[in-house]
Amino acid sequence: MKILYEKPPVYDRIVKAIGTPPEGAIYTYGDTIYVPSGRTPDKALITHEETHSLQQGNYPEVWWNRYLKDVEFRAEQELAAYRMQIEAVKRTTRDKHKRGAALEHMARAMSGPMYGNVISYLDAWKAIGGYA
Amino acid sequence: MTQRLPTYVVEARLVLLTDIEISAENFEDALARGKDLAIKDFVDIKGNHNDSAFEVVSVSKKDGWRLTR
Repeated sequence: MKILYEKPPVYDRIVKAIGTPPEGAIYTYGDTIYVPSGRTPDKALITHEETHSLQQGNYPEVWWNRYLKDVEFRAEQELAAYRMQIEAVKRTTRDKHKRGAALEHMARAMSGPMYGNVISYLDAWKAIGGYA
Repeated sequence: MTQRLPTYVVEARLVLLTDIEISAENFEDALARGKDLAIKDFVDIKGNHNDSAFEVVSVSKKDGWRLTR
């Protein structure tokens, strides 16, 4: 995937639909990862965004339209991406503390305002880490 | 859409004003007790770190917590 260190083409629509994302947020539109913060994402983050790229296929605009309007769709798509991300973390470390901290962060992000508080923290924790 | 993982520390010790100390042995428990502050404040630390194994050395914040190796 390509990486561009700028805001994605859908940024203004994200702000309008969900709110202003955190400073460190990264985005995928088609085969491109957008990183406005300028800080290179690690492999696990790229895995998360690669999942979104696969979800979008050849129709990123259609995907984003639904993502911004359909809360259940948004939650479903993000959970799938976080599941891939936690698996990527597991491949990089066997340290249970690091894995646990990563899962906590993901569950917190998943249940937070970045996606519109679409799920509780506990449900997100179970869905991301407890599915396997 | 996602965001970077927070900077977290296993081999370091986190000392908060609330006397919560985090070490490798009690990391999860202590983090749970001080979760909101710890997670919130770890997010944008400008410390020495890389993307796979974070290390934070001597980070401080005005309102009174610090990280040390």
